[in-house]
Amino acid sequence: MDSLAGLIGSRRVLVCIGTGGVGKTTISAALGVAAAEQGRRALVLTVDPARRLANALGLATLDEHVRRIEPATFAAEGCTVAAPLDAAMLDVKRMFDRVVDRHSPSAAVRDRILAHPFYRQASTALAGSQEYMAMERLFEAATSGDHDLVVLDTPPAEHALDFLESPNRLVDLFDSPAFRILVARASTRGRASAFRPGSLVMRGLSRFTSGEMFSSLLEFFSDMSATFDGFVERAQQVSALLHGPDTAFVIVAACEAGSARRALALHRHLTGDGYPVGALVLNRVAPYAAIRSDLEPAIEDARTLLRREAKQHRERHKGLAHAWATSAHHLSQIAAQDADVVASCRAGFGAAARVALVPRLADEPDSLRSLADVARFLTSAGTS
Amino acid sequence: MRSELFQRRFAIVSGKGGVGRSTVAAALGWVAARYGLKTCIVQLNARDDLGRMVGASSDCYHPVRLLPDLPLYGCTLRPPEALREYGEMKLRFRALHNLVFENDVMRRLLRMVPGMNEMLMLGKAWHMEAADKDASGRPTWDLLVIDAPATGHGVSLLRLPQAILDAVPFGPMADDARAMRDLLADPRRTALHVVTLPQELPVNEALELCEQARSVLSVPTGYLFVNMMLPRVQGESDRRLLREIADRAENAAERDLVRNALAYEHWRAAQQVQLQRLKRQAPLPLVELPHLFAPIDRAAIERLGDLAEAGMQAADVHRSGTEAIA
Ligand SMILES: Nc1ncnc2c1ncn2[C@@H]1O[C@H](COP(=O)(O)OP(=O)(O)OP(=O)(O)O)[C@@H](O)[C@H]1O
Ligand SMILES: Nc1ncnc2c1ncn2[C@@H]1O[C@H](COP(=O)(O)OP(=O)(O)OP(=O)(O)O)[C@@H](O)[C@H]1O
Ligand SMILES: [Mg+2]
Ligand SMILES: [Mg+2]
Repeated sequence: MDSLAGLIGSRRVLVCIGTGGVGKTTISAALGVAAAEQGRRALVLTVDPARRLANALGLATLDEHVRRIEPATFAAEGCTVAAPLDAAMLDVKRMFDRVVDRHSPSAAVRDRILAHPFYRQASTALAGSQEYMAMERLFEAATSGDHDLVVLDTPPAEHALDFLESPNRLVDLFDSPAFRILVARASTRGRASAFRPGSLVMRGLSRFTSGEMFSSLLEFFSDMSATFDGFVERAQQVSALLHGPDTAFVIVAACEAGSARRALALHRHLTGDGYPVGALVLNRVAPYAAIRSDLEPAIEDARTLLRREAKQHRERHKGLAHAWATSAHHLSQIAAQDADVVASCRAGFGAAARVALVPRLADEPDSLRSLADVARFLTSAGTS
Repeated sequence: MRSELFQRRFAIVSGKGGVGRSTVAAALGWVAARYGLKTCIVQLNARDDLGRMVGASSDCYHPVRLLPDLPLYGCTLRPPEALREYGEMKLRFRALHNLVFENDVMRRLLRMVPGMNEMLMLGKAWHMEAADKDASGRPTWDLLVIDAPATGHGVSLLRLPQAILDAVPFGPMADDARAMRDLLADPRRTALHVVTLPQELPVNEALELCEQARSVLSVPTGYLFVNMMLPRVQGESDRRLLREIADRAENAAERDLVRNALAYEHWRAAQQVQLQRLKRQAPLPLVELPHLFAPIDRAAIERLGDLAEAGMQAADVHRSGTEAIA
């Protein structure tokens, strides 16, 4: 089985996937840095408008234009890389426009679609379109030949699989013969009988929404119908890429029982659907000592140390010993919990995927230097 | 006096993913129920984290009572059930409903309509606020705590009624969307509460969410919960001294002790920097909640609930004080 370093060196696509706030964006950036260190031309494609991440990469802003981080910029922070690193952010609206443009048979059709009020809603911030466009952009980047590796940072989805399924939903509809017939006869006269004005279905629908709304929706789809084949074909290509040998999924989880449980479930789902899972990254593992004893012995240790080393502070010893022991003990409790999570993950994943551990850094990763630190943990041989 | 949380029946909890939205939602729900308010925690198409915390499953569409001793309920709204309920409500006859919605094309079409799932779940939550009444005509729920999706999806969710109105200004769907928009914008019924961690990125997102609530969403806001604050330990900690004698630890026990104590102080100091940023910039009253060091179970929820209520009351007093001066 490939190590994470091996995956970075051999795959064309790495997809970081996981629930909200676990560190997907940070890990994606660190994977990009690791790739640059290996001399691979990588693109980190993020969906996260977090400005600080752009700054960590040494960029003033991040938008849909590909920005390049030259080796000299790395060198200025004391890091050595063998290739530049590129980064870009997904712009859902622009991407959607490009997709429509690509699939439209003529400028007239394209303009009609772009001007339709439904299109404006579908293409902007509504949930779902982001996932779909992330896949489109990924495919575009992975097949352009500009990069050896594309690292995709996925949106925080409650159900992290949603975004993988979004193209299927589309194919399901656009490929349905019944739907095509319906749309092909969008004019009321030719409309399939169930959807004719006055039909039961239409009368039922009018209790939800105006009849015009439905007609207008059909009209929109009828405009779009010339693009259906393009959408379906592309969705199939995306699916093939994601299931293929050039791709590996990297599941990211926080070092918490709940997050680890979800990571295991995600792993089951992904492999069940035939997606290649390459590794699990357990992020923010407590790097603290597990004292695993009661508070009292810890206070005694602190007192011994103080009696020996800080003779001039005698009157403060009691307070200091108590404070140090308590705080040390708090972190020890976190460390003990985390050790259990790590053990259960190792047992749960078994030989199915590598588990890489990234410790909770004392300071949030906010520079190329600290991303390189994270990269080191990702690729170090110490991970099982 | 009770905090102002309980003056508005529709309490939405959002924030960056993983910051503790579900935990805070459970804690707030618990406080309300302890005051005797009939409370439902509403999870939107999510895992049943609530059930795990209180030790009773709430993974069901219709609210179930979670605790024998308090009127605390929970439910998990899922789009298919919401669609069925909504459809049957509007169409009244199951046969007609099946004809319209169980139709092959319609099923595929509905899955594609952007925002459809969110609209259905928001619609159900709105219905619980506006239409659920007991036999005497009083609202069923004294408080609804909505465990909303993380910031990005959360904002889309709250914007949805307006988005629908922009696309389809007329008809029954528009009427419902308008009613939902009015609920979300009504400062007597609704408050958006934000949860964050004292870390840079979550704080950035929390501040952006506050700003969007005002400028884009026009959703009235409530409190900003700063979760997982490392508690100040009793006694004094003297970081300088700790660092000074760190190298002179003589055995593993002493070394571990010093290492952890230093890490704790470092972490706490970093948290304080973010807390200060919030104090300077956040337009919402802050409520700090401590980092607990044991798994979050019912006892932990009760503790966080008590602390949240105390913090909210203190924030109310502070606010009315500054308003009196102003
Ligand atoms: N190893 C680490 N050590 C310390 N802090 C970390 C580490 N990894 C991530 N963080 C911090 O944790 C927070 C969440 O990280 P990040 O934004 O990368 O997560 P995400 O999964 O992309 O979140 P979202 O789902 O909201 O997009 C950030 O504040 C980040 O700086
Ligand atoms: N005050 C606290 N002290 C200790 N642990 C906490 C605290 N608050 C939350 N947690 C833990 O942090 C993790 C995340 O909390 P929670 O699930 O409530 O967050 P969330 O924002 O709802 O996450 P998600 O985005 O996954 O829905 C959980 O493991 C929870 O037990
Ligand atoms: Mg992210
Ligand atoms: Mg949650």
